[in-house]
Amino acid sequence: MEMGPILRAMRRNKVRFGLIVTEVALTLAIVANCVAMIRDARAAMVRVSGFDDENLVNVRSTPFEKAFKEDGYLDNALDADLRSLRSMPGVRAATNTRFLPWQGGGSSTEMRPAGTKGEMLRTQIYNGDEGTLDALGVGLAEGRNFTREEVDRDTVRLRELGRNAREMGPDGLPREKFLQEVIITRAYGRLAFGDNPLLGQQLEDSDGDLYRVVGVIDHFYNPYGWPIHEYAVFFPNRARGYEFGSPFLIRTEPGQALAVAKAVEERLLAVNNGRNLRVQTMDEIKAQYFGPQRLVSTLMSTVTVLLVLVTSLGIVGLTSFSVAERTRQIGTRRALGARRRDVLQHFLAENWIVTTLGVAVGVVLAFALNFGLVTVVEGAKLRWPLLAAGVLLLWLAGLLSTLAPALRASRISPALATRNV
Amino acid sequence: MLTMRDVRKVYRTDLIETHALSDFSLHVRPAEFVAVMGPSGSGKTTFLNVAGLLDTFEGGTYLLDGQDVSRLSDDQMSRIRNQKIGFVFQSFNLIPDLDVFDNVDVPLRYRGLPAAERKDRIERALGLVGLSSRLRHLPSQLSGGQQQRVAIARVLAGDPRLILADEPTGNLDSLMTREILDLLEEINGRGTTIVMVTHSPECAARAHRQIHLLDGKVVDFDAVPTLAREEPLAAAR
Repeated sequence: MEMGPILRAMRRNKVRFGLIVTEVALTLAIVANCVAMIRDARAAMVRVSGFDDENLVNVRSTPFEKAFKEDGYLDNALDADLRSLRSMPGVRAATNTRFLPWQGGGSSTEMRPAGTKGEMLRTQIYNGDEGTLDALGVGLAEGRNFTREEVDRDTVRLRELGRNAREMGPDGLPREKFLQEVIITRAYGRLAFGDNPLLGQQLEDSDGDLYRVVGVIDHFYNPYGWPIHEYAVFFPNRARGYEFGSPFLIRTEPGQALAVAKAVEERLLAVNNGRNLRVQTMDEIKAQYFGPQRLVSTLMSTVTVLLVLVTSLGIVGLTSFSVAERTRQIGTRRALGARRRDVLQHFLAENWIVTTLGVAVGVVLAFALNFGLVTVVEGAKLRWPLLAAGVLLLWLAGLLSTLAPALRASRISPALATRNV
Repeated sequence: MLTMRDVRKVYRTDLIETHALSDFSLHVRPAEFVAVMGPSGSGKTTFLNVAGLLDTFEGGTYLLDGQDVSRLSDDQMSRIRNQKIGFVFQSFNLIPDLDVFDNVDVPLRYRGLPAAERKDRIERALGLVGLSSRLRHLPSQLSGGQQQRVAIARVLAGDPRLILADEPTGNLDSLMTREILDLLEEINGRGTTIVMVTHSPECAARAHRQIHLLDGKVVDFDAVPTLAREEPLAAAR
């Protein structure tokens, strides 16, 4: 193999080969980062939430009847709805909570271990009732669930708290502290309390109100704007109101989500028709949530394929041009003793050098681009195996692109050497 | 060294057949310097292509250095071209992107010689043609005569039994022509067979023997006085 002369000859055609080297380098940098992001998006799409997603149905009841403005009417309607939902065929559990997985958000607050002056730790926070965990399909890892009495009691207490202005102390915080039992995720518990036992620990919020841990759940993943996807605190309360309506989560028997979703509107309107209802299965909600990511993924996949194709065509073009331009030269080489495979090897080696230089520069560019993406837009971190796959892909694309023109070159007759142009 | 008997070469297109060589017979002895002349279209280049195994032929036999080369594979022909034959072309046929050293190195690499031996051969060959100081020059940085000397060095480095020269002075002025012919004579003097295709009677006069072709056959010079005499003269003007 005549690598030395090939390299020296290439140095004398810097622009031509330089353009392809640049093209290969940019392709690798962009393709590797695109694929990293696609993989990241795909990994997020198959991420397990910890809930029984396939069998969840969300119902949002928004009243328009004036009667719903009265607390008692609201409470009775909510109870009636829950009773009706829980007795529906195909329904395993139903709950009244504002927590809705796979929305890409929810509500959050900041807390820290009570009595400490440490950093406030952000967490998702949602109301729940005695049936919330069952409706989500989540088991308690430690402690206990909320009781019906706790939910009723705290619903009233929180309603009172909302109605009356709280008396402030000299520190600017409410004088009287409010204490609630909460169920937290283990990830948030670890964040706040490290490896200490979690049951019985107390958290405090920015008003100094206290939250005592009575239960711990292991698996919780709900994508959020901040990186608090696995942090959550549930507190006992009913979620209902005239303006914001009442949200329900229903867990159906396996495979019954669609059937229940179809039947639930008629069922609830039979209980009370003074409201609008919106029913969605969790599959629909997830599809909405992942829709933009799926689109970006598809676009990136298309860009990736097109880039590799364009680069391959560039290599085909370069090699075809080289063959056409060097027809006489190839004839001379053949006359001087080159076999067909020597000519083939010559072009393959030339291309291999171009591709290798391209991927070498591309590796550096890919990491530089990735550093920028990770720093600026929270892109996916580029990993070596992926980059190695990209290098192999471009090597293979380069080889295949060169093959046809190189084979054509190898068939050039040595008699061309004596043809005077 | 070279014996052709009744060799035929026909070029075919959809419409016509051209008999470039018809029952072509020729014998060239070892260490002979033969000039092949003839008008355009007489079959000189076809003869050179067949003799140099650059092209195949249909019929007849061809013995090169005692070996029947009538039915060789493409690889076998490449090996013989590489080891036994040296080519000197009218347009020099140097690789423009390679410097002088690498140009002379091209056939040696195909022969698979070790680097040290190749270097030794290249330096010796370039020394013989007086271009030792131009190793890293590109062909474009050399005069026509120097380029042809590089091409001759490329031949010398391979130490072939037979040199086929196709109008080796066709692109050179008279001074350079003399230089190249002197060089070819010198090489021939060392025992290398040379077959030179030329239009020029001056060049042909340097050969031991002149062969005239017409319509793809060897003809007696005196038998076709008009054409054979006029054509080379016209070409030499």
